[in-house]
Amino acid sequence: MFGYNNKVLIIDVSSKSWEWEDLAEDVVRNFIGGSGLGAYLLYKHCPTGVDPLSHANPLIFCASPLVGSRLTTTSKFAVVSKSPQTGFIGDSLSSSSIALSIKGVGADAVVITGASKEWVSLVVDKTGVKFNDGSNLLGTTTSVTERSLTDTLGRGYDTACIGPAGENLVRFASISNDGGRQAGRTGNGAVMGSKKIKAISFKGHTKVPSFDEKALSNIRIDLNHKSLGAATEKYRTLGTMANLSVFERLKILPTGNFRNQSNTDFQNISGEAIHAEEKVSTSHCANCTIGCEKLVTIPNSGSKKVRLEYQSLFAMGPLVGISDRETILKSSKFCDEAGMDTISAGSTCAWFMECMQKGLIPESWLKLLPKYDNEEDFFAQLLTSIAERSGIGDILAEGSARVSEEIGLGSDEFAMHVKGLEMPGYEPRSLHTMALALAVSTRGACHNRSSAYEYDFSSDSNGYEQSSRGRMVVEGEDYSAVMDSLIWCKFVRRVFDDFYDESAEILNNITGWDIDPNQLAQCGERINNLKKQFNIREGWNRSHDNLPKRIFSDPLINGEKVSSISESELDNMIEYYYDARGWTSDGIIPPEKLVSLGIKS
Amino acid sequence: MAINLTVELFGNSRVITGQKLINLWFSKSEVDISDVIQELGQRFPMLDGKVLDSSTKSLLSSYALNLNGVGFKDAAQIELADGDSILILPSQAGG
Repeated sequence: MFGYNNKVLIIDVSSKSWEWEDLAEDVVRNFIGGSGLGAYLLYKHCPTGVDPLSHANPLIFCASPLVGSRLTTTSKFAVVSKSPQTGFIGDSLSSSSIALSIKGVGADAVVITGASKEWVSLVVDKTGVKFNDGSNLLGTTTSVTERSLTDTLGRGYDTACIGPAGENLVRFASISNDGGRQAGRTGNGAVMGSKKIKAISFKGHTKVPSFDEKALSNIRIDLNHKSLGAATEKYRTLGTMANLSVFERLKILPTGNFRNQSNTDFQNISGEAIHAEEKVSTSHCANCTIGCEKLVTIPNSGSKKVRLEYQSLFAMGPLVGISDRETILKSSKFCDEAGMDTISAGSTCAWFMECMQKGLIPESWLKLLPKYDNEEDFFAQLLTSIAERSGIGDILAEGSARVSEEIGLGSDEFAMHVKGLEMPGYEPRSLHTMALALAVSTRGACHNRSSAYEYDFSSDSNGYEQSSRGRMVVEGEDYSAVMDSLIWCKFVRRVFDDFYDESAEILNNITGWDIDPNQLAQCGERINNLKKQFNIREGWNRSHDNLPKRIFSDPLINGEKVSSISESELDNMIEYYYDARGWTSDGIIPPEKLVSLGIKS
Repeated sequence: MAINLTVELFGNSRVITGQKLINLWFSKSEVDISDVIQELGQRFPMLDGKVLDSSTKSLLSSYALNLNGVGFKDAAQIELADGDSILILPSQAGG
């Protein structure tokens, strides 16, 4: 089979053994690779009802058919497990050379099961899998771990690792690779930590051939050219940091734990201001022409650089009510080095700071608070204590959903998460298609699995009916599932004139298949249904598709303009969404639907 | 009757011009977006080909229009009135 290795590497870290499993063609025809193949393998390898931090939860790394094609933005991989934040499917994507190395060892996916008794550092190369001692790396940051393994193993090895947060089972720990890129959301770093795997390094030795390399070469040249056009201009110039000034002006920048009562001017931390006043350089993932990554040199840090993007800027700044640029840059860098998702870390701190302001903190916890000089210092110390699980950080490392349940006193009404995953920097009271997408996403409050904001930013957005939004989210989710499974970077999406048509042609040139655009679109539907079916199996019910109470109870008031969404409006949109999916009114997938999609026979 | 408008620049348009806000004054009673873009192109020739197309008096597809921070509009939908703010924003919403 062209485009695939046809193999899954199964590693059992309990017994320190490994084996190769065949990957059938019908599986990849149905689930493609990346996030889709990861969902299939999770459904297969994760026993029902397991604790996400137990040995039985598999940690899955997935390459894709486009990895190795050298098409722009395709050096990407997915990490999938049962999320310790949500208890549902957790999948996150990351990029660059390690994707090539995973596929280069002869695997389309690597499924890691079991848990080691001692800390290990896994090495996968043409000799097989080694279970090296990882204890010497304990406590080291992600960049130090990666550099240390590069020094030890030599050139050609690419490493994914956890930092102190993953070691300490912070529920929103990330997995870091290729110099600080993060598989950030849903807590896969904690799953890796629960298996006592500090790092996994890959060195490729094979290359998977494509069916029609000549045709692919022409497409590659064309895509490279288009990828440097208007469709990616924002990402190439300021990166996603450009969102901040726009969102602030449009009053859709969540501030102060989504209270939006801030009088602070965040222009000082806009992408434009940072670009003009700081030293900023551009970085590219392997095989990427766009270069959305902006490395900002942190003032007063001895020329340390942070890879800054909008969500980190938002979560370390406006979300916690901080506008000091240096604090934000340092906090973002700290999270990357500790291996923590910035969105969940910032949101949990923002919630906790509001609890403090309202006097809701249990007295027994007050003695656990760090000493601090000012708000910026307090925030920095909270982040440190979370990564170390020291003092109050040992509690906050559980995330805002769990801790707010423990405190009670109404604090859960302003714990800004969906299904346990904290909310990204998009304001659902103004962006109603996004509100629906955040509520129904299988991985919780997610901005990356629907592209729903696109609809809210269009010139037609004010005229949308609720039923339209339901259908739009379905279309956006299915389209995103295909992108995340092939895997394309989302930032290349507007380069295509017809995404499904062009992607099907590319997939056929890689694999030799004759898949048509409609079949490819159906893969997206199948993948989303499988993710949902996994969640149903793990205890999902209708009440999980919701938004935090604050979104309904606290409208945004800006002069005469009031932005709000009611529970009944959201409920109506959810009903339309279920209907567009062909699900029951309770959001359950009918058996015949599972059969028609080939999920169940 | 004259019309005063404010143009707010975001993203690379702000980086290129070094301006956040530009005040425009037109000595006629009816102004449309093409007038605004023509005026911007004349004041800031470096925007041509990067943000706007001066030959067609339109924005490049990498930019979007918003009127008074309220709703996104296609150029043809926009009716300008004295005191309006026109926001020129990157059209890619992701991140």
